[in-house]
Amino acid sequence: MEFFQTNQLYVVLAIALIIWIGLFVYLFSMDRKISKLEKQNKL
Amino acid sequence: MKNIFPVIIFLCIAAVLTLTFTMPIPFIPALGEKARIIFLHVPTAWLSVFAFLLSMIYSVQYLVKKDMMYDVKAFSASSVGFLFCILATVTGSLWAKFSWGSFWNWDPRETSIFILLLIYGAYFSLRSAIGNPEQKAKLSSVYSIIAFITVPFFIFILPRIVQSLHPDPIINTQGKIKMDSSMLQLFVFSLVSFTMLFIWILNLKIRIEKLYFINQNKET
Repeated sequence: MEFFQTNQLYVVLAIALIIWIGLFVYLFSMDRKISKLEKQNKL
Repeated sequence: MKNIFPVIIFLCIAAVLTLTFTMPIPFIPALGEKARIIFLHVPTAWLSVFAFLLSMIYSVQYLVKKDMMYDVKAFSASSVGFLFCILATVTGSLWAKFSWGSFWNWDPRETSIFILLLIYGAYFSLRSAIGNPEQKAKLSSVYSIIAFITVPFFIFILPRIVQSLHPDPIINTQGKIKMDSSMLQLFVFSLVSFTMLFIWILNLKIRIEKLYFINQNKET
């Protein structure tokens, strides 16, 4: 617990980076799915 | 090659986040460490204005050329702009909790962004209320143009003519950018990174809406 109290800023940074990684993976997979659908629809 | 752009965006945003929390910043009166919000809050607010401007330009193009793809682009730009406007409101509200004591204080800046959200919320209501695609495109294009006329007033004029506690008129009384050089560098880097992220999200949204539009036309 002491670690989290003394390094609060880094804990917040770690959480922000985890959220960003999750968001990026979601957007990237969506990009690939859209590309597949565009090929199917011959766009 | 096509996958490089998202990877660059990933690295840039990760660097912005890391530097936002770890970079040493000079003491700013009345703000202190809370000034770090500028690297996340200002880019989202700038991108919402940029998105609404794009929506207005696409709407004008639709009215001139009557090409439904411009309507698809205008709707996509408004949607992404609305998302960034919500992000600006949330980040500003979090900052307000720690600076002013509560999440919402009806400060002129908060009131103006709330009205802006209502105006663009009405744009989506208008679109969902009309069934005929041609009529929907025409009416929402006109609405988007009129809605954008209010944006400079609510974002730039109103918070400056009424007394506000928003940091911009307090720390920047002469209306010029006076920022520590390392902060300014990160601020510009953050603006560029978030703009690239915006372009990527807008591109995805336009492609989804195009697919939806084409498949809807196939069915009917």
